[in-house]
Parts: sequence; structure tokens; C-alpha cells
Amino acid sequence: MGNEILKRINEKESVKILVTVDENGLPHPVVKDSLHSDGEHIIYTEYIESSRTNRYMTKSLWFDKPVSILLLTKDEKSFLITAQPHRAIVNGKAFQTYYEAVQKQYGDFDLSTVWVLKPLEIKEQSLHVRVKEEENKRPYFLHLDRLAKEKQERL
Amino acid sequence: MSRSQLNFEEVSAKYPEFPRLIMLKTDIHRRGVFYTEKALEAVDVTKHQLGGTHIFGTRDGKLTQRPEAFILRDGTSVLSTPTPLEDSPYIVDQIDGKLVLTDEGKILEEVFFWDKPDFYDQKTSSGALMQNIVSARPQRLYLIPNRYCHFWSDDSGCRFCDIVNNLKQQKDEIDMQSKIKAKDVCETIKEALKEPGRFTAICITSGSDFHGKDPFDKEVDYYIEILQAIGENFATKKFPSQLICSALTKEQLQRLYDETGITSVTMDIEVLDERLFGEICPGKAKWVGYDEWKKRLVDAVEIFGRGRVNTGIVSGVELAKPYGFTSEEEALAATLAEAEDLASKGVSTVNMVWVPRPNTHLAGQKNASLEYYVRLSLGLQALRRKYDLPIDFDDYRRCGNHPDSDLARAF
Repeated sequence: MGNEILKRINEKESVKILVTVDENGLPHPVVKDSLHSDGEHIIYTEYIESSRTNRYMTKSLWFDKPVSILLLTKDEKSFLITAQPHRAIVNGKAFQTYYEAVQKQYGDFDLSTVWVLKPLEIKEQSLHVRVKEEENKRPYFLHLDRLAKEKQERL
Repeated sequence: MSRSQLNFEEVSAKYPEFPRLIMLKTDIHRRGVFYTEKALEAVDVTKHQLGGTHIFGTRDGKLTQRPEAFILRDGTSVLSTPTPLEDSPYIVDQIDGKLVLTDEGKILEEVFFWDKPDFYDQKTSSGALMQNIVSARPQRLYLIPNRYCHFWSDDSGCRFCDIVNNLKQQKDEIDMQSKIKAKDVCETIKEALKEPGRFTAICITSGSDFHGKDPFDKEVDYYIEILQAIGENFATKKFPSQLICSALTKEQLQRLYDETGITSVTMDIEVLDERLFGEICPGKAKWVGYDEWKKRLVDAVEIFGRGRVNTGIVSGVELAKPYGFTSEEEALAATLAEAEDLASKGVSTVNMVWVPRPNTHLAGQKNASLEYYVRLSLGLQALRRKYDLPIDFDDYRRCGNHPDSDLARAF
């Protein structure tokens, strides 16, 4: 299940939002098309070395603070992935492979960091899934008119 | 380690705002590192960079056939040389197919050897091995045009330094030349730049040479020759680069800036205390002097700009016997006060953990406590924030030898 969802990050039509946290605890959400996954880890390539996201990712790695990734797929499903930045690849042959891919895709363009994240939790957030979950787990959280015999008979 | 000092876990608990990985690196620099046989079995000479070309020697006095250094998973470079086991260094081992750092049998972190640059085994048209012309850090090309420091000609070299003894060993064991030729430099840089995404900066440093019409003119002339040879490979006049040199006059710095592609300058004062400067750096004191050294750093800001001039200190040497401060508290206060004086004038200070190497006047002494280094790094980075001084040219990526500037990527 987890792997299949992670792989949906790679779908071109998916919208991917990376949410880090700033110095004051405020969320810093950014659309990151460069997020992708091999089904086990999540990879994110950062182009701007001094970007706020790069800085907050560094702090997340240093202080073991997870980040969030919101994934919206073309069939209108949404997933919330909690992940821990685990490795920042900034040099070496692995980095250079990504660097060359970026240059091939965008031309004369730089690459700062290849981030490797370990998924900690994947939760589907699509409305119909959440509604069903709420009905099952929190039966008190509804309005009584929805249970009225007259209304149920109309449905 | 003295029991009056806090150990790694205790310092980590006391300073939760200090990243553990940078603290670990700092402690590795303090204590050194030992590679087990299994770790050395993981070295692939076709893929990994081996030591030997560095300006300073190793803690165990051996030169080559060991990894140059390694990287932590946050991209931090750890530049620590092999250290005898009896000095209680950290251990790099290979366990379950992974290279790991251990201490007292406990696995602390996975580590990664540096990849060898493609140019390393190639030769220039004159037959010189390119790795002996230009060495590499993970992302920096490193040139040492002159490995001889003339302060040693009358034994007035810095007391913690083994540059000349290391050169003798390099000459004997790996045929290292004390000087390099501009043509060899030009060809090597050209080859290095063929590797996409590998290097982000060029750094040049040398031993001091006070010869010339004005003191250090000869050193300047040689830098200009080498920098111009490097510059032939770039389409732009300026390229991201750092010159670590003697304290040059404004006129000399202006020449360097005008005639080459250099973009930043470092003039290492080594210790931020006038009395200790005289004792620990007698050559620098004789040829320049403490106050003049500071003045020349400030003058350099006028030419290179704020955030492009800094000075290095060999941190912990201010506590060396018999001249040093007798308490870490006193040493820290004095060092940070002087660093603030410089920062307020646009000059940044970076620290290198003092390694009491064999073949130096201070061999056999101990460096400072881990807590001292943590407080110093926090203090130096705080000064950069206070005075809005970027350290991009000498940060974790361009250099990697300064725990304080490692912090700049996130603080």
C-alpha cells in the first residue's frame, strides 16, 4: 500500500506540496514538482541553496523533526505523508547524476541538494475516506437529523 | 579526557540547539579517527580519494593509502586525519556492509568516503600527476602553489604548524614538489572542470614568503601567476574563489583583486590575543604584528567587500602551555571579544579545531574541551548574524573545516 502511494508521487499530474516549519513554528508550504519516489524513499531535489525550504530541511535533519508532504492525485485522492529528512546529498557521483539530469531538463541550471526522506506515515486524506473513518470511529460527531427515519427513508 | 570535562552526550544535552552532527564532527576533529582493517577493505582506489596531498601532516605521521576523509549524512565534511588508537579516537568500521562511525563499540552514524575526482590519476603535458598539482575536497579545488613557509627558515613558524616537516615527508614518499608550475595548474583545472556538478570553488593557500621589494611581494607575484593560469579556463573574469595568504598590504590586495579572478581573501591570524600571537606565531608577529594584521584584514574589506574577508583561528591553541590562558572561560571571552571587534568592521572569524600534531612545537598537548568548541562555534556564528556577514565562500560546502561556519547553512 505504502509503496504504491509513494510511487504516485512520480505521476506527472500529481500536485506535491512540501511543508517544512520555520524558526517560529509556522508552516512553510511550497509546491515541489521535483519530489519523486523509488517506492521506499522520497527524493526531493532543491535547486536554490539559500532557499528557506533548504534551510528548514537542514534543521529537520539536524533536529529529527519530520516534514509533511501533501499529495493530490489526478483521480482527486489526497494523501498526507509524514517523512523524516535523512540524508542531504551535496556531492559525489550520485549527486552528479542528478545534476546532469537537471541540466538536461532545464539547460544551464544549478542543483543544490538531493534530499532523501524516509516516510514515517502515509494517510489518505480524500474526503470520502475521511468521512467513512469518522462515521466508524467517532459516531457522536454527526447531526441527528441525518439519522431521522423520515430522512433515511427519503434516501 | 579529563572527568572535569563533559562528554559528548552531556554536551549534547546541555546545548540542544547545537546540531548533533556538527557536534560529532567537532569531536572527531578534537579526538581524531582510526580506520579499522575492515573499513580500509571498503576503500576502492579507483573510486575513493586517498590522503597524502594535504598541506598539514597526519596525527599518526603516516601519509597515504587511507581515505582522505569522509562525509556525514547531512553533507558535512569531516576532515580528520588517522590517529593512533592509544589516543582514543573515534573508529570508522565496516559493519553489515556499511561504513559506520563508532565510539566505545556503539554505532553512531553511517559515513561515506569522498569520491575521487576524475582528473586525479591523469598527468599534465609536463608529466606531473594532476593530484599533486591540485587536490580536492568534495566540492573544492585546492591549490598549494608553495608548500614551504619561509618563517621556518629561522624557526619562527607557527608553533602548532608542521607544514615544512610534512613537505619533507611528502617529497620523500610521494614525490611532491614544493612549488607548482602555472602551465600544469592551467591544464589540471581545465581537466577538473570537465566533471559536471563536482566543484563549487577554488581555494589557494601557501606557506608565507616575505621576500620581495616590500615584504610578501614575491608571495603575491606567485599567486597572481597561478590565479591567472586558473582564470584562463573561465569565461568570466571572476570565479568563486578564496585566497588564504599572509596579511598583505592594501596595495598588494588591490593588485590581486585587479589582476586576477579572486573573489575572497582569508588572512589567518591563528590566535586572537596579541600576547599569544607573539608567542605562538613569532614569524607573523615579526613580519606584520598583531594590530597591523587586524588592520590589513579590515583594509581588505574595502577591496573585496563585506562577507568576503575572514580570518582563521586554530581554536584551542590559546590554551596551550606554557603561554596560554589557564581557563577556558577566560580564553573564550577574550577570543569572542576580539572576533566581535573584527566582525563589527566586516571581517568574519572561522575556527579550525587545533590538532596537536607530531613534529610541531606543541606536540603532545591536549586541545580544548568539546563544550569549549561548541560555545566558540555558537559565538562566532552569532557574531556573523549580528553583523550580517555572510560566509558563503568558506561554509560547510566550499570548505568544511570550520564547525562554526557549518552552522551558517541553517542559522
